Amino acid sequence: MAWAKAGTTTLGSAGDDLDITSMTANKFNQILVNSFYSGDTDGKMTFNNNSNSVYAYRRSVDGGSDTTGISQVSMGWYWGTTDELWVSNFVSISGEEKLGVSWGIFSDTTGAGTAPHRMERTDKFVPSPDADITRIDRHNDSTGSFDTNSNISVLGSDGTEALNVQDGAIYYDTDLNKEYVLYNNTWTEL
Amino acid sequence: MAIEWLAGNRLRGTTAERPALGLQSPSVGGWVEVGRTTLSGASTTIDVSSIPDKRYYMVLMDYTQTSDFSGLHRLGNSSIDTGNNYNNRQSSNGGSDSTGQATWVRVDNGWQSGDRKLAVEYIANKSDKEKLIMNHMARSVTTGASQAPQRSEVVSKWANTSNVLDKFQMMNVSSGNFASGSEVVVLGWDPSDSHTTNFWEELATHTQSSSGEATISFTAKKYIWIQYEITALNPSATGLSIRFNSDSGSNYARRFSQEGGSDSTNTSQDKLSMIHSGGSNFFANMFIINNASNEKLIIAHQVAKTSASGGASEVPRRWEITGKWTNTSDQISSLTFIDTEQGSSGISKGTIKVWGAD
Repeated sequence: MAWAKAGTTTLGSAGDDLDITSMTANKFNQILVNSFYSGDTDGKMTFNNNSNSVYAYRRSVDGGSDTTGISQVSMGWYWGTTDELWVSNFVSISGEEKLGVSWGIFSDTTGAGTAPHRMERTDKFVPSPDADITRIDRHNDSTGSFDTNSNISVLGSDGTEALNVQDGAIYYDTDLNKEYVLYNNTWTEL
Repeated sequence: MAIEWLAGNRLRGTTAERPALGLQSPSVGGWVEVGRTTLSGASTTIDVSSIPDKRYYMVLMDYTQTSDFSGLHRLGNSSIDTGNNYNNRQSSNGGSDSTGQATWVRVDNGWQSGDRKLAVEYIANKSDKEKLIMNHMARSVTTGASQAPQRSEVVSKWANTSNVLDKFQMMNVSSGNFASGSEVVVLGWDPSDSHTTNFWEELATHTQSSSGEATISFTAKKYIWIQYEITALNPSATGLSIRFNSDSGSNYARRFSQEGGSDSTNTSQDKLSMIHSGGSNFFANMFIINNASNEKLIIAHQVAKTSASGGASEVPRRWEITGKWTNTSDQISSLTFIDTEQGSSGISKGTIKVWGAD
């Protein structure tokens, strides 16, 4: 298995939703978000379109003391009127709570004269019944919009690797305890 | 299981995995290498040029300085931007953030003789938007397990809103050089990518289904990326720790923050402790620089449930950890996860994945 693209969405026009509505399920996921603002934007994340009280978090803003929340209806990955970069790693193993470690940077006012802000988070997603993560929604519920070219992408750990098996290859079948040789795209038992 | 590639054009797998017509359709890959510079001699800069346009970059920095200065870097398009066009927010060793406009992006927090450093950075790169940057750094300070590592967290921006970046330069604003062997590797990923390759090769996967220690062995690589999800047998008293190459000598040191609190350190330890209090279902993201002849440096971030029952009515836990393993003769080729509170039966189940690259 290999790291692979599980899904990506780039906005062609400003909007309130930056979503990957159908993505491959993976045990380990790296979520990348680079979103831009048009007015005040509060990007609230949900998995699997689940807005029940199934989220909990711990977060630090600009290195301050942790604050926490439980039984949340979304994950508050946002700062407000600012461009953002998020890098998040989330585990999604069947039968286990979905746990994530995430970092965000927020540009604040444009220009080198204003320092960016940061957020460090850990999150839980506890769907009932249990479900693998196959959809990610980032919804703005404030007055502005995500601007054009905002992007969300997910890399997953369980992609299919490229195989380049050439004639003469020997394959040992562990089910049948037999060996095969490849010639002209046909496996022949040895 | 996945197909196992063996020497001599031989493969091993199940009947279902025997590839039809010799080929299977691969997925679009993840991070790919788009630039690298390894110093063959001491230099005041480490320059990576001709970086293709990607929306996201992951940058690996493995470096040593020959005198007292902080590692910094600049970005550029066609030429490196040396202007006052950057702003940094940094926390050093878990301390309060400091901010400031600068002519560079900050990476580390200082220097000592013998110091080695590993930094992992992410950059968002849209031509008409400020470039947003975040990095985490671990440094050995001085060699030996009696010296705790240090750490730094930085977010920065490059206020260029007219171009994408195509140049990366590690530099300093004082005297001194980066030592021979220092290296910057730039990885990229873009939503339009169609490649089927990866910089990060999966080296091993371990699935633990019964109580006990969990060991995973793999082919050693220079850069290691680990993610694990491990369930502790007794969440009220857990001591999840890792040993490299089964080394139980006093060769480990660490610095950590728990729930955002002040940093604590432990030196001359017989394992790399990932927790020393309660928790269950640990998930961590970890990077290691794994040169045989140098101390191994570790950057890790971890989350966990507090109790076995968990649920959304329970706040997740949080750790930030840097570590070092002072072995200077071998690369890491195995990890053993142990629970020092519960003994050999402490880990009830889990999944561990290891990726790597030279």
